[in-house]
Amino acid sequence: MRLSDIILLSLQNLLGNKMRSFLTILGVGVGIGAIIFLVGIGFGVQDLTIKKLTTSSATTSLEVYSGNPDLVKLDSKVVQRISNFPEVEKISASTSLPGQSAYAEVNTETLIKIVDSNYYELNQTKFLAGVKPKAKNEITVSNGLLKLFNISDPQSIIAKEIQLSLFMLQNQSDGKDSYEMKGLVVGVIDNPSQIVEIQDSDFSVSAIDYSRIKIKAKSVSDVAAVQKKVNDLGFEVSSLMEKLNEINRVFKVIQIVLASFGLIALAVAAIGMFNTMTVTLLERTREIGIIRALGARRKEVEKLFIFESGMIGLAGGVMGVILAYILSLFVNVGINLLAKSVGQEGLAIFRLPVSFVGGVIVFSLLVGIITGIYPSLRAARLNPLQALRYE
Amino acid sequence: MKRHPIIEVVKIEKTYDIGQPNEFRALRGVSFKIYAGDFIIILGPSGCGKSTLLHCLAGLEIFDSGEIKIRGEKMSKMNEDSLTSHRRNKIGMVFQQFNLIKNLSVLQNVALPRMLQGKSRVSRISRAKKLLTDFGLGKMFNRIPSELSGGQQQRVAIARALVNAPWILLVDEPTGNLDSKSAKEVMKLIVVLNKKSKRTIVLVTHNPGYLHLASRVIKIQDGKIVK
Repeated sequence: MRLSDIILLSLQNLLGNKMRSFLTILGVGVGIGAIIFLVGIGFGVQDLTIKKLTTSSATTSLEVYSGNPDLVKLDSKVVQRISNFPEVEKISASTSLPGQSAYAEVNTETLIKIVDSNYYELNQTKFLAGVKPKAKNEITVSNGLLKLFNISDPQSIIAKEIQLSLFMLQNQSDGKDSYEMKGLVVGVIDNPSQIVEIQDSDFSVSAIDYSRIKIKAKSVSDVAAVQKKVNDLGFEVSSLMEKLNEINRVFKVIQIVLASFGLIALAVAAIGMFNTMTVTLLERTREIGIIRALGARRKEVEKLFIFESGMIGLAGGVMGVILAYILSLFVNVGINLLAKSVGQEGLAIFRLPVSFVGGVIVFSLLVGIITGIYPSLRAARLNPLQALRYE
Repeated sequence: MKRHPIIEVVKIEKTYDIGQPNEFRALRGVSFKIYAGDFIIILGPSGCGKSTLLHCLAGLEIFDSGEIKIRGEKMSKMNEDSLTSHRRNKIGMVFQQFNLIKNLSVLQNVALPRMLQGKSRVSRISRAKKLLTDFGLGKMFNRIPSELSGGQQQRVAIARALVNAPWILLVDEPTGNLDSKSAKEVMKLIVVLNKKSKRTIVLVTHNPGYLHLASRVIKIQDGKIVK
């Protein structure tokens, strides 16, 4: 008997009892749909989280810390070496010093960062007003600092002067332990902490060690190489890629948990399907007797049943995808309405990767085949004469 | 020239439920030969063992001892697969209950044994169509069996039994479920198959009214041939 004929006969058997076939397929479809829907939410939330954390350039950036400053110093020589790595596109070194800032009779503790020209770009600084410093003694301030100065409109501080005091942590060659300067505000950055950034002044950055280096690799695939090389120099490196991998691992676990809930639904459907196949077997006992009497081999009877249950599984998988998709449309619309009503931007909480959908359909097919094994073996073992006498 | 039998039955025995209180000896040393072109009627009351004999010839029932030789090949040596192949290729069976498959069209029912042989769709459909047309069922191709009368269903079943061009046609009480008019038609068809197409036929019945149609009659009582 040809394979195409076995498929044809199985299909005809399914169509011979449309209502029951449909209900069985629906049962499997609901189970598969539950898995797809739940895991789809997992994928969607994962995407949202990662999107909030990253932009395309953030995934190529790495941060270097000195780790153990007594052994290895993060100085201009190191910056020079790292910037010579072929995988490195840009590098930005900065150091943070404790200090004070004074404006309009308010004097407050401030973190003062000595930065270079790549700093704003590599940190993807968001400007609320103004631009980045271009000339000597020009500075940017954070909106967190403005709050302490009782300034609500960031534009109003632009072109004003702020009195700054920097406290040295390391001994300077001239022996001073603090440094005073007037900074001209040219930009306001979005940061809730109290920060002032100075790009260029009489104070020399190269004279002290950096506290942090930010590197932008040429591409995402270069990140690991850069990370390794910098590690080999004795520094601690953290990259967003690394954090993303961690997040992805967490979401894998969440997805498995969600999928297990769906599996319960599928197990119920599979039991229903098993029941249907067993009832079908009883109902078709006589028919099996006929085709065996006409010369069908046991293997062929077995295949007829396996294919039939396999087709139920396959159709159930496809139906599950459709059900989950329809449900997800409703959920996405609902969530967006909710988000807009509280003033948030719209978002998609549901995503289905094609490979996952394909995998689930194959899985459903397998469930169908496995469910059909026992009834098919029983059908194949029937004695043709006894089957013919079955009423 | 010496004629060789298609089938040679030698002292076959069949006992059901051996060792049980309801032990029943269905066949007790039955022997006979079937030659090409024979029309044999096996006659006997119900329970005499005639259906058991037919099922043994079909390879649906395993006999306990004795031998059935199909053109010299011993059935006692055949395994499950060979018996299945025997049913598929060498015999055509017609049942009292018609035994058509209810979800398949008339045409598909007739083509089914050829499908089991692995023949192509074109070849099996054309042969099934020819047989059905010959049997006066040319307009019934796409009906399902339940839409046909009993006589028509039995003719479909006979077409199905012939589709693989078997060596021998085994017919079990073909008119048992038919009214007298349909019964007459079916019997007429069977006679034509024997006389015109030279089909070898073994027919089991309890109705002595058909005996005159046979080339040979085997009467069975209590599992033994009595005449």
